Amino acid sequence: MSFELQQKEMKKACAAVFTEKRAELIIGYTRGGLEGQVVPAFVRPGEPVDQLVWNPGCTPNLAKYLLERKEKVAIVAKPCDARAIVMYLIEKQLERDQVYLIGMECPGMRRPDGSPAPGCDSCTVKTPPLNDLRIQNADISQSAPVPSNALDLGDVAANYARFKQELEKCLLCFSCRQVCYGCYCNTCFLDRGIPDWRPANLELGAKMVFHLGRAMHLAGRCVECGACERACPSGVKIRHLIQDLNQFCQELYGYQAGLSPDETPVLAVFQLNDREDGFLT
Amino acid sequence: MNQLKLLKERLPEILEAVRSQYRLVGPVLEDEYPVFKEIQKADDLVLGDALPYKSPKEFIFPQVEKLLSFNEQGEPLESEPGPLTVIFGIKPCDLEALRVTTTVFTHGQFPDVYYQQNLERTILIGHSCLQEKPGCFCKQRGLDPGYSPAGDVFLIETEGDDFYRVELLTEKGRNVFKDFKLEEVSGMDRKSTAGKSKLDNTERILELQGNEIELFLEVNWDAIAEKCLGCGVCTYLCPTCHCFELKDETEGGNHYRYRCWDSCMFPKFTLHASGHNPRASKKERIRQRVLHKYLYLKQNHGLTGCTGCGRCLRSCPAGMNIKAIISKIMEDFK
Repeated sequence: MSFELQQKEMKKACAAVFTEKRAELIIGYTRGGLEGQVVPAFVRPGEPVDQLVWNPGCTPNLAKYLLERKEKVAIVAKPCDARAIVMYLIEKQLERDQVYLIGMECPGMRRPDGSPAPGCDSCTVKTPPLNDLRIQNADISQSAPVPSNALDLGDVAANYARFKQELEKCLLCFSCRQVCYGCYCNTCFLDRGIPDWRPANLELGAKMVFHLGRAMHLAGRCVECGACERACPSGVKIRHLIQDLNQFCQELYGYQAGLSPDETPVLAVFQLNDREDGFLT
Repeated sequence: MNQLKLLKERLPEILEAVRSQYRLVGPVLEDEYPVFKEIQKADDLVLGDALPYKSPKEFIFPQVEKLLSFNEQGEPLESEPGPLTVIFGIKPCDLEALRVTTTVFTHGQFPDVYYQQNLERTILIGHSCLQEKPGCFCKQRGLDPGYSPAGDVFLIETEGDDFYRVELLTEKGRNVFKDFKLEEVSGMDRKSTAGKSKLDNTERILELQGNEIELFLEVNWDAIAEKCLGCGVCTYLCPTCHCFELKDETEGGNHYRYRCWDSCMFPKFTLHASGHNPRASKKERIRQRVLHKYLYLKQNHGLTGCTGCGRCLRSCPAGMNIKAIISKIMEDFK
């Protein structure tokens, strides 16, 4: 099925959500005010489901909205959104019965110019790992992931130079943190006053505290949705750190986040035969 | 008002001359985004139609500003005053926005000396917009995209002309151009400089009217706020946003007080030392942002804090749209 056919199926499924009283709210996508813009939609019983869309512009990650809802919610979820929801289940932020997951198989989202959206260029998970209903897409291919320039642990100078170059434009506005599914702490480590981790300037040191600290908190948890890079107003390629950590995780421990609600997060379990590259060696 | 004729081909030469006497700031292309930067050579400056993604307010109201410094003995440390700066290529939406921040910082009983000093040593040179960008709504805010008198100089550009009409608005502006021997031209009727520069008589200016208590309590702010992710990009890019925090730091034995931009969209923005937070939920913060810009600033200073530049609309990851929000409130509360 193509995007158009998926959209038809999705609208039917959403109409059924209300007629069969599966949820009190549908979170999906709709057209925004700007040309070609797709934005989150909140649809309630009685409101038209026809406003919902499904197309290559559906980039926003909707999972984070679930944390604020008290009612039962149906969500039109891309595989990356579904992975985020799986992580919320594992991390006990959501109960399974709070969500009716309409899982959309996804060949990848695109920017207005046709190039892959951030996150979609290296995505390997094209079908949602969890769903109550799955809407297929015939165009998903089992493509190999685009190899990232994986971190060479030994080459600190090169990694540092790369970080410095990428983060030159960073404004420290924290939008990447706010849109990330995994950043839901009530008080982020950066907002703590005692100790005060972050200096009041825009120097590289402040950026290192924020970005490296955040990357470490997302190690083994990032679902590679690309929301961080899309939200960044300065065009910083902020994913490069986490991509490296994710690849690391896969190589060392064979783990990718958010693929099964029964999995144990990689950093929450220790086995005697775990590789210890980089730990005191 | 008399205007001077500046041929476009002379612009690099003029810019080099300005640069020899002042710090020159203007739009520079970085990965296709124009951004206001200090110019190293005149050819770097791109006087085009695109709106730089950040406003020029950071040159008068910096993102991080050292307010005072002293050593271990409590003696103040020397600080250099900033250089005389010319900011070239400011669009009318950003000029009018500077009018708002200047009013907030300098009017009233206690003017902000830091802002004032920065403004005094800055010369603002505006430039016409020829085409509306997606998301722009300056006309709905009552602005003329082709012209604004809110700076020191304005370069009026008309589609198809090979020259700018330079309008010198202040003494500071006249000083910048005094040695260039530009030909005078008769004043041009500004209405014809940029297409349809005024709204039809049928369109209303986008602004909030009404009873403050009613707007505060009766508008469905929950529905408006629910899609916001609280990321704060809007506040970093908005040319009228001016909230800040103060941070005291010690570095190498010396002590500094910094003023840093802050965002009312962040949950901790209004957290009190007692632990109480008067704007604990997103709805309260969105309501505050909208009413601050469209109601409270008007009540306190007579100016609406939004010039329709469209940066918030274009950058919001959740598709929040202040133009749509205000239009809907205007509809519902006619």
